Amino acid sequence: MAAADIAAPAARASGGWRLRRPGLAQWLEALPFLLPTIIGFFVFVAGPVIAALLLGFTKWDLLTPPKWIGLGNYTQMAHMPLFWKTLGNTFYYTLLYIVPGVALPFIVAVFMNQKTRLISIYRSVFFLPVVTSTVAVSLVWAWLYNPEFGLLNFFLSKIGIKGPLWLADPKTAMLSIVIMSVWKGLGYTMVIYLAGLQGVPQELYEAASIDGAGRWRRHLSVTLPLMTPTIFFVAVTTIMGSLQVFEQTYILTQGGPAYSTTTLSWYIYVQAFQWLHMGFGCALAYVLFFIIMILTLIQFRLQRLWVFYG
Amino acid sequence: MSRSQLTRRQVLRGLLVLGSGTAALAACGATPTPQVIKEVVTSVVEREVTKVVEGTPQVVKETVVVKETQVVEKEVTVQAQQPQIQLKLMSWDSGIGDTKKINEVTLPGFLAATGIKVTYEAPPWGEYWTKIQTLAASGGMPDAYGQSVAYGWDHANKKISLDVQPFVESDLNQADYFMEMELGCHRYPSPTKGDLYAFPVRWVGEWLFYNKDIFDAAGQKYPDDTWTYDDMLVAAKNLTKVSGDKTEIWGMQAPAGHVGLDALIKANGGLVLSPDYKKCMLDMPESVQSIQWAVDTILKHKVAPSPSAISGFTEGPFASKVLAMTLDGSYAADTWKKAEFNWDVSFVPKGTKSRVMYGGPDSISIARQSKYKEAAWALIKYWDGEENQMRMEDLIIGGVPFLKKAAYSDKFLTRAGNPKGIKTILDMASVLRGADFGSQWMEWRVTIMNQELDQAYLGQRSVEDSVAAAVKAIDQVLSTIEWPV
Repeated sequence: MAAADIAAPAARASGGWRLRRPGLAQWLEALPFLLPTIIGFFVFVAGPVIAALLLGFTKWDLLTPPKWIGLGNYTQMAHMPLFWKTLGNTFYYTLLYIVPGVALPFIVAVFMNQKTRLISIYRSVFFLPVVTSTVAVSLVWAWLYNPEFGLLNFFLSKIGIKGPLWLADPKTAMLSIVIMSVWKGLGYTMVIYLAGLQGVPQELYEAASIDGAGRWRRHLSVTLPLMTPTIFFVAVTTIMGSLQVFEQTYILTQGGPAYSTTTLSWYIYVQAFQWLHMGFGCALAYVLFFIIMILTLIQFRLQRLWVFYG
Repeated sequence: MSRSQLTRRQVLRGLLVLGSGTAALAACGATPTPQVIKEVVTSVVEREVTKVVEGTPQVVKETVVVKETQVVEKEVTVQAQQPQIQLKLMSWDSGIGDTKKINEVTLPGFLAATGIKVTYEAPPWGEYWTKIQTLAASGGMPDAYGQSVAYGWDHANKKISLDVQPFVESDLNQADYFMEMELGCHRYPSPTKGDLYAFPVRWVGEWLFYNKDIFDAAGQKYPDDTWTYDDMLVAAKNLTKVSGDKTEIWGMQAPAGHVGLDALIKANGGLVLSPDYKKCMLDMPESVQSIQWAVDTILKHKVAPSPSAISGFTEGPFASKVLAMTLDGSYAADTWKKAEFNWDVSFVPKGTKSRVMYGGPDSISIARQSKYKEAAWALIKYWDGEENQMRMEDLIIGGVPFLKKAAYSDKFLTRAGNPKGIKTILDMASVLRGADFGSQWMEWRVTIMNQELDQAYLGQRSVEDSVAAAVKAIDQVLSTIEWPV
């Protein structure tokens, strides 16, 4: 509905002049103001997206002209064991990450949703990893994970546990990356939950208390249902983000050891920018796009079963 | 709108006038115009002067010589100067020499010799290759650029680098250089018979590094040129020290990666790729047996650390003094030259068929896009000439000049920081063989082959299964390459 249509009844009610729909002259006047954004959108967003789609049907190494090969890239990836391994690793990371990535910040947010002294300092402490560079964080965690000299194995040895090889073992490498990622992202998700918790009416808690509900019952029956829209948002964005994990694997493991942390985003990067298989990289990018799109659509479909909008 | 505000038409008119004026000025500036300059001119002249003799009324005339200075105005027309050739050179940091020394010594030397100025840029390795590929695609390549064994063949295949074989044959006496070493990485189209598309400025090899302190403590004789890989294993068993369930000292490092493993495979008569680089040959019995031998040092004989254990040492197990021997590129000597323990180098052990030393050159290529190809070749020729090759300030420990005279000179052999066994690398020069640096080497060798074989080294999969997976994946990559006809 155009702004003018909304304004029109008010104008008529005042008994004065009547607004008209913007004509060509008005559009031409507005165009110079809109052009920078429109041009920027087409040049930097829509253009590359369309170009990537088309390049996915070509063989292109940046140095010679693209060669049309139709579905060649998609057929090739279907027959590549490494592609399926990469897909599996990506889903494995997402499965490991989703529960702690969604639930843990919620629990922390509930504790942070109090009006006590120093609460803002506690919230800041949880948020600090979010504002720290992923590169710096990854390097520090690489030291923590060092099997011989790292702090983690040092503390484990003090309680009589022989620490694992963490990033150096294919069995524990992905879990190590997940732990780091949960720690890094916890503050951001906590802030989103905090905003949601602020919106829960206090009267509902009071009413529940009057009805005899204990603390745990209040959280279960009041907080959780009213927070489902926020949880849904967090779940959707967390799954989107985890399917695109890149920085951690790039800095910590370079996809190893033995391909155990090779994720789709990392694979797209090496295919396109290290090995110059630009066409193949674009095809992989669209595979990732379709996976994320399908999963998001499924989540939106399923939300009617558990998300309560009040 | 008030009268004091400019209308759109007035603004546009003003911009048009301004633009035209600027264009006119620029056009004026383009044509040389006569200029009046002032010049101080000094001349020596003879003058007749009249003077009165002192004390008398007599007047005499005499000739004196005086220097006269005057300012003269004259009109000159300054012609536009012919542009001087200026070359652009790029390489990865330390790729063709120490960056600082290149800027301070090598390039000024070239300028003094030829009058050609060179600007040099040396970004880090990863950033450099991304930049080179982007410049190649956009038409902005430097005139000459550092060429690595990893990309040499690909650049020739993709018409980025120039064929320098005609220059080499006409300008250089090839016998003066280490041309007998395998230069397949730069020969195109055939790795064995093709033309050179880069010319080496230095090369590196492979050494058996050993910790003398650990050898002395175990009473083990130092390695020498008679050693085979089996002798190395026997010594490693003697050198390995275990305390409880922890290995305190490992005897050796398992040959892995393109430096150690590829040389082992070839020394035992196996191959990694076919001679034309088109097929993976890891499934040859000799290749499989070589990989099994390497894996056994970790899993069966337990004299070598696993890849997981190695990753625990930030500086590597050899520098951390927990490893008695390792096969590594000779460039590692530059890293360990300040190590706080006694170490030396020796010959790479012999395999069942021959001795093979991994190695390869760092080279300079000329870009096909360059407008100054002859000048770029002059730069390479200077770099490989006696004057520059004998300088060696920019040469890392473990690097060897490509000019034989420089390599065998006392100046090279007695350089500070050299290991005592420095001459072994020259003695092995004739058995230097590269690591099958064909097309897409970073993809199939550094990523695929390492990752697939890692599973065998970690004990997660048998050698046969790992080799089968590697061969399948590598052949798939090689099948996508557009080979020259």
